[in-house]
Amino acid sequence: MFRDLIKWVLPGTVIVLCGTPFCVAMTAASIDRDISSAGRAALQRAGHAWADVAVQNRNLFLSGLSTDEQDTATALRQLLALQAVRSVFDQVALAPAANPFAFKAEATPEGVKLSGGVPDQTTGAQLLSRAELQAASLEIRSGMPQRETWLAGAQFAVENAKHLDQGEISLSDTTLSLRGRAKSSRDYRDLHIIMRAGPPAGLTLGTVEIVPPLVAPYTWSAQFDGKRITISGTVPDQGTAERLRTAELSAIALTSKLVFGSGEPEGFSELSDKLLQQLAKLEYGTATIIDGESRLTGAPPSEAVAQAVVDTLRSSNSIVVLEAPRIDDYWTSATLQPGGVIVFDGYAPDDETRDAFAAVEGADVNYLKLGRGAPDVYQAGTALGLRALKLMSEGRVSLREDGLSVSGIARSSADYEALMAMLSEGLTAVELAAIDIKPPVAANYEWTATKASGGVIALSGFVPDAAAREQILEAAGPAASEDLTYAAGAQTDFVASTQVGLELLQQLEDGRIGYDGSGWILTGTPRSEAARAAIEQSFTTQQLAGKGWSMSLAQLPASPQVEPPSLAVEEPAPPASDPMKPTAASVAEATPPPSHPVAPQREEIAPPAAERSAAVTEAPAPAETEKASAPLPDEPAPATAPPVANAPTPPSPQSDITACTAPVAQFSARNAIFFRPGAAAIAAESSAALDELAIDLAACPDATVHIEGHTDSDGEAGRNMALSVARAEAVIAALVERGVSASRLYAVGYGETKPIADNATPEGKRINRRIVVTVQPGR
Amino acid sequence: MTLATLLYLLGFYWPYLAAAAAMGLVVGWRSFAPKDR
Repeated sequence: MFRDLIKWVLPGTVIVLCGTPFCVAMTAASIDRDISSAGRAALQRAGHAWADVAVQNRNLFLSGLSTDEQDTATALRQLLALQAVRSVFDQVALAPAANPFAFKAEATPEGVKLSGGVPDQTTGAQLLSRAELQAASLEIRSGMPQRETWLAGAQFAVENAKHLDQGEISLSDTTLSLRGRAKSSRDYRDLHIIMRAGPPAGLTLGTVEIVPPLVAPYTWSAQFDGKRITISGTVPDQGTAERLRTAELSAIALTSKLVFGSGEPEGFSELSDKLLQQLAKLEYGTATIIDGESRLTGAPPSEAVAQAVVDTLRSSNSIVVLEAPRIDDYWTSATLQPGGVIVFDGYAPDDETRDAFAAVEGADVNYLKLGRGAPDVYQAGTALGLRALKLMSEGRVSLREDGLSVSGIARSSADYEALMAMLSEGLTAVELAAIDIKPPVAANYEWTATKASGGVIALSGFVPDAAAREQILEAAGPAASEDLTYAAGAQTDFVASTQVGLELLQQLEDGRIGYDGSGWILTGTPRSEAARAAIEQSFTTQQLAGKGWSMSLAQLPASPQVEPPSLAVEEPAPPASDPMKPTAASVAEATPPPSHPVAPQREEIAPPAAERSAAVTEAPAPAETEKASAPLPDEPAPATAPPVANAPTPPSPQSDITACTAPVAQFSARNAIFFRPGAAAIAAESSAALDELAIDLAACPDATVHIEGHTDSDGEAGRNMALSVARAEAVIAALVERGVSASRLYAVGYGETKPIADNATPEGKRINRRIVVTVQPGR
Repeated sequence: MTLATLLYLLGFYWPYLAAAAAMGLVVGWRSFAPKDR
């Protein structure tokens, strides 16, 4: 039995003792592997991604970083429930709690960066992949609020951070905040839409500050086409956009195409507002802001508006480039001054025109302003005007809506004719409002009409204008030949006088009317005695002697029956123009001047300037001197009377003024006494003339001498009167100095009351300023 | 140790148990078989 025990039991025991460890050693590794995988699978199923397990001899060790103790406990329980697990060891670390639980998606120039706490690695990895990132400084933290809500918020942050250029979206517990600048205006718009829709459910919204995208260059503009203002470009915020959109612009329609952008220049909002307001005042224009530079261009309706706009924008350093203002009353003028300077005034439509004017010789365009609204005929009108000015010595052309006005003095008679022709041609292009062109002033205004024996009248000399020329030619008859030149400076009744003269000329067989600038002289042979009588009648009735006329008619061949004395009797009475003054005629008749042995066959009428003493001396020709040649008609011979025709009695002292009448009249006509302007002091150069006058007056020592002073119409009438008296007295004083008896000198002042020439012209004025000396018989 | 654990382990050890049983059968058969001499 014992042998059996040894034989069987012992080897069996040995085999068991050796075989069991062998079996266990052979299977332990695979058992542990199996348990480990089963544990992992269990944790996976339960969602404990943070957890890891290690198995050794069927002992299970749970490790990892947990954010929740509850979670760890659950995991342990689940592991313990596994088959074949001997025991489970808890080696889990708990993550530090975060309060508040913060997560942040930050937009940087390099891209989106995530930071803050995540509840576990898996969530972190998920967020990273959503953000398309490899790494992030995320930390695992415990203390996460509701997982689903938080996760939705974190995903929201990660996704929308892409819209930002800089800034961040942060999640603090369940409060979502956004602060940053949009990448583009599209992103800006998207962000606005997203934020308006609200954060994911369960989250509350913290501060939201979305800055529009950075725009460079920052451009804003407003365009006004006259009806509508279109605003486009970038504005920094909704408020500015709204203000621009609703700006009060006096009923001008407004369209805005604005985008939002940041990076605006300082004071953008106020500046854009201001520019818009000013733009609305213009007729059309553009306002722009490009970065720091603002600019307003356009057309102001008036000068005042232009000024107001410039003043308003001066403080904002805006560049204001305005077109010329519109001018309602558009005009321009060019005045040619005697020195050759052409002063332009009024308006020009543009700089080009202005420069063109400035290029004209002698032009002064300083007064010429720029203005819009020039009439259509502006260019044609100004061109015509300037062409006209070239033919003038002085003058003015002005252009208005109603046409061109031209006034001035032509350079020469030929230029005068050319001017008139040019202006009548120009009528097709430009309407002429007024023309007042004078021919040049003639220094010595002469005119003659000569009638040859054939009856044809030849005219020469000056005429003031075309109308006068017509009238004169009409009066001269159709056969008249003419060589008339235009000149200004005629006395007022020049045309009437020529007509009178031509009428008188009709009565002559042959003859001449001459005007020498001061007086009219009619010479010639009458057709008949009746014609002579008619002429003399005209002289009397029209008081021509008083108007500066003189006449010297040749005697008709006297019939032998006619006695000279009877002829004398038939002579007309001297002109009754000045009944106050007994004319020297009657006296002259009786006074045979010894110096003239041969009496001229003429009736002499005193030279014109001595019209007040117009002495018609009559000299009936003696038979034996009939064929004597007549003295020159325009040389007023001293009044003479043929000795034959008069009584042989010696002249009475009372009437002994013949010797000085003619010289004195001539002297008066010469107008040889000059005064200082506006004063009664006699100019030194008149001294010789006064000496001469004193000698002339000495010829008739008993005659009363009237010194008349006359002035032109310049200045006040009363003062002129006083001046004329003072001047007459000055002459008397000078004569007394030269030995003329003061007792027979009388000073008379007429002031400007008796002009003998046109006071409108300098020449006429010169003639009107005069001293007239008359002699009268007796004391 | 629960029955489930025992069965789980048998799942691993049964080839060894089977080998031991086979060896026991061979040895037992050999000792009880009539001898030739």
